[in-house]
Order: sequence, then C-alpha cells, then structure tokens
Amino acid sequence: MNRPTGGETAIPASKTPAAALLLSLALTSAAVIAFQLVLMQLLSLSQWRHFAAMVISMALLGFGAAGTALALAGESLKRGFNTALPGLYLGCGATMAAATGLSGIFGDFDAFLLFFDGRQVALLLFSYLVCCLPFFFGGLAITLVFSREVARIGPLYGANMAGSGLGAVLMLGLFWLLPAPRLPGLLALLPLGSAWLTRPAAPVRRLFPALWGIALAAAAWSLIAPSDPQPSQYKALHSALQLPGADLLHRASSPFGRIDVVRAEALRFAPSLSLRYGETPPAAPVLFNNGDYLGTLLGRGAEAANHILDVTTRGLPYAVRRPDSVLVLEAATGTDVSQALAHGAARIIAVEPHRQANRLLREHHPEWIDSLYLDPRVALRSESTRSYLGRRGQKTFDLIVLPVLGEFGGGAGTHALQEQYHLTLEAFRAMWRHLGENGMMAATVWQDQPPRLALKLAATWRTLLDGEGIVHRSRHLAAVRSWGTMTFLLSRKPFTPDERERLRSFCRKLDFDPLLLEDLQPGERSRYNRGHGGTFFADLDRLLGDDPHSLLRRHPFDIRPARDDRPFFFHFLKWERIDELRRSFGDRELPYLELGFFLGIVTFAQILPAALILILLPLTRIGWRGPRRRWTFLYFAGLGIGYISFEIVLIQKLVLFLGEPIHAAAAVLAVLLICSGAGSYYSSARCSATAPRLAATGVFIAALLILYKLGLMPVLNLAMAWPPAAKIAAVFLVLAPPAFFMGMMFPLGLRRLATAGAGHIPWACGIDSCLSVTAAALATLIALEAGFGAVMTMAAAAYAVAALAAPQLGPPTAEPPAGVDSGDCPPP
Amino acid sequence: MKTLTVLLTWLLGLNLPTVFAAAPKDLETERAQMVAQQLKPRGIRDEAVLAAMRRVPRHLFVPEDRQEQAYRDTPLPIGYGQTISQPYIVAYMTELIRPRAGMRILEIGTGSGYQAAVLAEMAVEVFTVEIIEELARWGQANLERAGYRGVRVKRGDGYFGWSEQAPFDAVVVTAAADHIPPPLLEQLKEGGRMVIPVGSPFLTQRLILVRKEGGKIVTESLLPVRFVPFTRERP
Repeated sequence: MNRPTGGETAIPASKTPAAALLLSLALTSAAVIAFQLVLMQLLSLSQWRHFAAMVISMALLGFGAAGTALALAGESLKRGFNTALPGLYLGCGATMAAATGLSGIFGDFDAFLLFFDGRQVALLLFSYLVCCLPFFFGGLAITLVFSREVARIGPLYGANMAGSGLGAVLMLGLFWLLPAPRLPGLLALLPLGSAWLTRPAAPVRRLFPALWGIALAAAAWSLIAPSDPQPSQYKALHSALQLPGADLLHRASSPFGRIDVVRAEALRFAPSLSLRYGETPPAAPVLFNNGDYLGTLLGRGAEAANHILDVTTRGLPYAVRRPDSVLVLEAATGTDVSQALAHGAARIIAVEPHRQANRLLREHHPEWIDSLYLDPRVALRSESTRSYLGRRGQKTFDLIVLPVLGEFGGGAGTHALQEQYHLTLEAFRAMWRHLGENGMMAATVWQDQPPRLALKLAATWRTLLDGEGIVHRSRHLAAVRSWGTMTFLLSRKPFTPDERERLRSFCRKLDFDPLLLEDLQPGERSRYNRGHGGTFFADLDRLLGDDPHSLLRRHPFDIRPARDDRPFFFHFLKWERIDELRRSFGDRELPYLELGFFLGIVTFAQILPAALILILLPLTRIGWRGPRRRWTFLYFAGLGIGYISFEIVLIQKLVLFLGEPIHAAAAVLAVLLICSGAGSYYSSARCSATAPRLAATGVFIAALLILYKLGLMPVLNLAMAWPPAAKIAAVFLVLAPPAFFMGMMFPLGLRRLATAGAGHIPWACGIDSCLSVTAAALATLIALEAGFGAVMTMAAAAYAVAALAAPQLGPPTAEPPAGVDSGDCPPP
Repeated sequence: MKTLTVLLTWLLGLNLPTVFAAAPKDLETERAQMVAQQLKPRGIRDEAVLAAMRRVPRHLFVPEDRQEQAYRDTPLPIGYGQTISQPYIVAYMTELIRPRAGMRILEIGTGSGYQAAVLAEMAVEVFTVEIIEELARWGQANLERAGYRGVRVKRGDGYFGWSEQAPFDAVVVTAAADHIPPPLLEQLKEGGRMVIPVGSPFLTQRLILVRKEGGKIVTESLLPVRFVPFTRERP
C-alpha cells in the first residue's frame, strides 16, 4: 500500500491494475501529442504556420494549468482518484473530439486581422480556450497519476514518454490515411480507451458508461462528419475559389499538408510579364498547398515556340547562354523545368521535397503538366534541396535555377520565422560546387517595398564570392529588372562582352533595365522602369563594393546573409530599429511588415505572464515560503527549459539532415521521447534519487549538450549522403544518449521531492510544463537573433542550473519512497 | 531596454483604439479632418482631388460595422480578402492619373466603389469592372446609395478591360494582379496613364505608374511619402 505522501489525509489505494494504468497513460500521451500535430496541420491550413504555433503554445499551457489545478485541489482529486482519473480521460477525449467544431461557432478567426480588428482578440481567446481543454484534461490526468503514484514514477513517466513518442510516429501514418479534419475524432478514441481501462467501480458504475457513450458518439461524429477548416480570406486558395467558374479539380491530405487544385478561366500565368507582350497569357490550373500557392500547372508551356517565362525577367539565363544541363530547385509544378526543355536542355534535374505533389503530377495526373516529369530528359528528385546538394559525386550543371523569392506586392512576412535552408550561405556554397566551368545560378526576386530581398541576396552572393577568393565581383554578376521582378545571375566564369550584349538586347526587346553588369552605363538602370526605392541602387552597389559591412550595420533591415545556424532568409526586422520603423509605418501597419515575427513576439508576451500566474498560483495554497521552494522552481524550470530547447534545436538540425520538417519533427519527438521513457524506466529500476546522482546527471547532460552544439552537425554531415534507413539509424544513435539521461532527471527529481513533501509534486509538474512552453516561444526569438547555437547553450545552462538545484530538493540522505528499488545505477 | 519599452507600448496599445472606439463625430467634420491631417501634410496638392475627397461619404463604402473607422488613416477589410485603400492612397492614385472633367477612366476592381465615387465626384466618366459577383453588386449598391448613379459597373474579368468603351484617358487597377494585362495597355490612349497599387493589404502600398508615350511604355515605381525618408545614421 502506498503511504500518504505529504498530505494530511490518507489516500485510498488505486484500484486500477498497474498494467492498465500504464497503458492508459501511454494511450492518452500518444493522443495528446498527436492532437498537437493535427492542430498544427489544421491551423496551418486555415491560417498560417506561425499562427498555428501561437495557438498551440497557448493550448499547451493547459498542461501547466493542470499542475496548478492539482496543486490547488489535489487532495480531493487524489482521494477520488479512482473516479477522477477516468473522468479526466473522458474529458480529454470529449473535448478533443469537439475542439475543431467548437472553435468556429462564434465566427471565423483570421490571424491577418489580429492587429487590426479588436473583435479578433475575443475570437482568438476563445480559440485558445477550446484548444486548451484537451491538453488541460490530459495533463491533469497525467499529473494526477504522477503525483498519486510517485513511488512508481519511473515506469509511469516512461509510459508517458514512450506513448508520446509513438503518438508522433502514429501521426505520420495517419496523415496519409485520413484527411486532417477527421483525425481529432479518431484520436479522441485513445483517451476514451484510457477512460474505459480505468473505469470506476460503484457507485458511479452506471453513470460512467452513459457519459462514455456520449463522448464516444461525439468522437464518431467528428470522425464521420468533421467540420472542414476554411482558409483565411487572405489566402491564395480563398481568392482562387471566388473566381467565376472556379472548379476544384482535386483535394488530398498528407503529412505535407492539404493539396488543392483549382481551375478557373481567370487564373492566368504571367508573373511580371513584359509590357511588350501582346498575346493572351495562358490560363492554367493552380496547385495550392495548405491554401498557399505552390505552382501553376502550366505543362510544357508552348515548348516549341517562345516560352511564356521568356517574356519575364526569368528568361535572362537563356538569353545570355544556352545551358545544356539544368538543376531546378524547389521545382514545384515544373514551370522552370518546362522553360529549360523549351530551350533544349538535354539533362534536367528537378528537386522538389513535396512528395505528395510529385506523386500527383508524375503518377496520378501527369496529363495536368503534359507529362513533364515523365520526359526522359527530366529526373524528378523527391527530396530537399540541401539533401540533394549534400551528396558527394553529383554531376555539375550549366544552370541552377532557384525558386522565385518573395511574392507579388512584397507580402506580409507570414514566412518570416520559417527556416529556409535552401537560401543560406552554406546552401549557396553547395550550389557553387555544383556549377560546371561555364555554370551560373539564377535567382528571381519579386520587388518588395522597402527593398530588402534583393539586398539580402546580393549580400549573400557577395560573401560567397569573397569565400571563393573572387575579387572582381562585377564580372561574375548580372541582373535585370522589370516593373515587378528582378533576376540575378551569378556565374563561375566572368560574363563575356558577347554575353553582356545579349543581356542588353534582351532588355531592349522587353523593356527591361540592366541592374548589375560589369560595364553598366549611367542612366542605363532606369530607362524603362524608374524610381525603385530611393537608395536601393546605391545600397546594392555598396553591398558589392569594398565595404559592405557599414551598410549591413546601418541598414534599417537585417540584410545579413542567412546561415544554417540562423536560416531565416525572410526575416528582416532588427530589434533596435523597430521604433524607427514604427514611426515610419505606424503602429497598425508595423506588424504587416513581418507578421510571423510579430506573432512570435505576441506568443511570448502572452505565454510569459500566463505561465508566471500558473506557477505562482499554487503558492497561495502550499505557501510562499518553504525550505525547498526556490530549489524546486530552479530544478524543474531547468528541466522544462533545457528539454524543450534541445528538442527545438534538434528539430531544426534534422530538417537539414532529413530534408523535411515533418519527418524531422516526428523523428526527433519519437527518438527523444522513447529514449527518455527508457531512461526514466531505468532510473526507477536501478537508480536511487540521491543528491550527488542528480547533480552528476545534470552536469553530464549539460556537458553533453555543449558537445552536441559543437559536434552534432559535423557528425551528421558525414551521414548526409546515406540512404534514408541509415540516416534514421544515425539519428537514433546520435539522439539516444542525451535523451536517455534527460529522461532520468524528471522522475529522479520527483522522487527526491517526494521525500521532502508531496505537496510540491503537482507544482513541480506545472513549473516544468509552463516553462517548457515559455522556453519554446523564447527559443524562436533567440534563434532569430543569435542562432540555434545560442538556444543549445541555453539548454545546457538550464541543465546546469538543475544540477545546482538538485542537492537542495530533498534531505542530504534521502531514502527512496516505499516500493522503489534502491539498487543503484552506475554514474553517467 | 528602449526596444523593450517600444514593444510593450506597441503590444499594449495595439487594439485598444478599436476595442474602445470613440463615439462617432460629425462625419463631415471627420472628412474635413481627414483631408487636413492625412492628405495635405503628405503632399496632395490637387484642389480638385482634395475637394472630391472632402465630399465623398467614405463611410457609405465600408461594411456597416466598420463605419466608425471609415475616416481613419488606414485601409479597412471589406470581405472577400479585399480592402478599401487608405484615404491617402486613394487620393494619391487619383492625383497621379490627373483626372479632369469629361475624361473617360477605367477602374479594374470595383471593390467597395469608393475609388469610382471619388473619380465620379470629379465629373469624369467612370467605367468599373469587378470579377467577384457579390463585390460587384455591393459596390454598385454603395455607389447608388451615395448618389453616384452615373458610374457604370460591369461584373466581369478585368483582364479584358472594357473594349466596347475604349479608349480610356486613364486606367486605375485596384485589384491585385501579378501582371499588367496587355488589353488594358491597348485600351489606354496615347499619352494616357495607368496606376497600379502593389503591396500587402494592410501596408501602405507602392504605386506603379505606367505611361504610354510615343509608342514607348515607361513604368515608374512611386513611393508613398510614409516610407521615406528612413533616418540614416551618418557613416
């Protein structure tokens, strides 16, 4: 029998069999993490990824709130454990099934209007509440079990971690099998299963099946007739569907998002077409991913005659040279591939990571793009740009075509916090290595205002040329601009006088202006297209001149090259210049310069006070002063901050290694959580929760994280060209050691705390949850400024703090709680 | 610390004006203030444009629940992912195409109908095309309600302009399009001017002016005054 742990009233023994308890915990943990991934997918479709991250961060505070609730009302819940636990599982399942349906009942929230319309704040708060409930009930159930069964914390925490890891893997499969809107209903069955496994005995025996049946019906309804998320009215898909005669040709879901294909007569493909062009541009269906434009299904685009892209600035590389081999990066629907074919390229490699889109266009509907990807001259690679470029021994190319950067009109910075590993300095270096002797790379940029994209590209290419020891930069660079776009070329060998003349002829024919050229004449830049942003030309020249650094420092925007450690090509705001921009643009317009960045700030600004309140509130019950309050706070704050920071860095690094965010996130979550679960189980079976052991484990983890900061990417780079299965094995081998030891810290800490008074345990769980959510939001902002290396340092420092606090968590010679094997494990 | 203060000020103050909106003032006074505080200081000099902006009841061209915000120095959402432009942008675009009585002007993207109303107020002949049927109906209803019955509204694909009524002295494109349709250039008179705002919905937009001069087409990217100058530190 368990002894009372710090409470004044004896708590009855659990009537739930140990195996059922473990299984129920694992099922609910799996459901909760999978629900988090589904929410991310659904909100990314209806809104944007940054907004999804914001809502989910707030919702995850439900876990922290669970710790607070348990600290405040823990005794009654523990006394009624046998009824409360299945009730909480039931609540988790029911709210999970109902969440997506409920979120729209007061009208559709639109993240784009958040900084503009006060009513959206109320809708946002309601969204938080609805999304928070499943996490709250799930978190409360898990924390209740931890707190109630602290003697068995090792296996229980292990089940929690392993279940979470398996939930992440489960979702990868489910996203292929079912549309995302149906998944909350399906996932709700897991906590309902937990509820059934732990169902109460009399006197609520009769009531429980009725409530369970209602929740099951809600889950079934959500599975069969889910509420479909509607994309924001500011998403491209929404606009396309409003066009007269718009026809939805295809819709399908996958882990990559939802694909929609729309056809309408008014959907024409003519991006920044020359004003000299007098024909009617082709109308073609458009493929959308999560409601955003992915590409136009242009097909071969008049392969035999002039290609439509030849009357845009994107025709420049073909006007200057005749490339025989072309590498098209982020090829999407193959418009650049069709242009290369039209110009007689004999070998074209198209790299596109969106496997679902590739499968659609190559296997299911090749006719939509005139079987472009089945052409013997074209090889389509379903992988990321970096993964492709990372392979050694690849052939070289005459031309590397980058995807068009930015969007028409300059956009609103909705992708500011999205990592762009194909646009970092390291990526451009890899591209340079893939250029043949006569090779060049081409990048087209939508003109933005104030101009920043072209400047960042120029700064990146300049740094690349410096690294390659090329002094006469202007000989290797060329660019032209139209009224809407600019196309830049970077050539391995200097452009010849003939090539420069061909560039000028191209410009004259289409009313474009040369922008960069070795022998550029005064006034040549503004013959047809005048007045582009005050100091833009001067800034461009300065970036390519002798002293770019003073401009990089002084410029109101961050136009430094993106790097693998800070891969945010579309992030331009400088903290210290925000006040200046605010004066220039006004309070309301400021966020639309970079919506993603401001949503990141708002997320952190919301989470921090909420987390502090949730952490401080239990102190009104357990007392503000106590022998171990501050050490409990420091220890569990260290664990929460350290674990999530490490997880975030790993996901980022593995995006680069595995090539795509979804598989990276699933791999990290699965390996980290399952190995942590194993560590937790091991700690329970073999380790005593002594002060030296906790401190030593904490110090060891901190040292390991510093080592990983320095050595992780070099080690992974060695395996970059390995086949996928070997890469996954490498991920497991690399992540398992820190995950194993990190998994020991939480249960050992709780056990040590239990020797001092179990009243702290729910509070400790709340601190861990609240601060891990807060740290996740903070980590993004730190990474923007200082890179992911700094986030890894934060993780190591957090574990060092936990190690320092560990000795103070319990008495110097703490006895393990009853029922715990005191056999000792070897030190790390 | 200063940055933090600025951010906190921004975060705290962001939505308060909307949530705690002041009671509506006399609308005519608001229009006069709009002209005096938002248009003149930013360099709108054309008296005819200023007079038109003073007279057109902008609040009749926004959704009912946003009428109190109609004269603010900001664009406003009108549904369907569209916005009514900030008053300054409307005035600036109008000034750029230099409308004079009797001119024929084509607008692509009727939206709320406000831009068409400002042009109609200047005694030009206005033709406006809107592709989204609901917006075309709403825009036309707004124009009629405000008394601009002479404006001709067509529901159709703005790409083709309005060939039956061509040529035009000026074209105002208010719909987002990543290309300038050749038919619109064809329907523009020699010496005519076309203006296109480019930018995300809630930012002050960049304007592109297209001129047809002696068979040559020249574009000019114009900067609304709020963008410049950035205060630069001296090297």
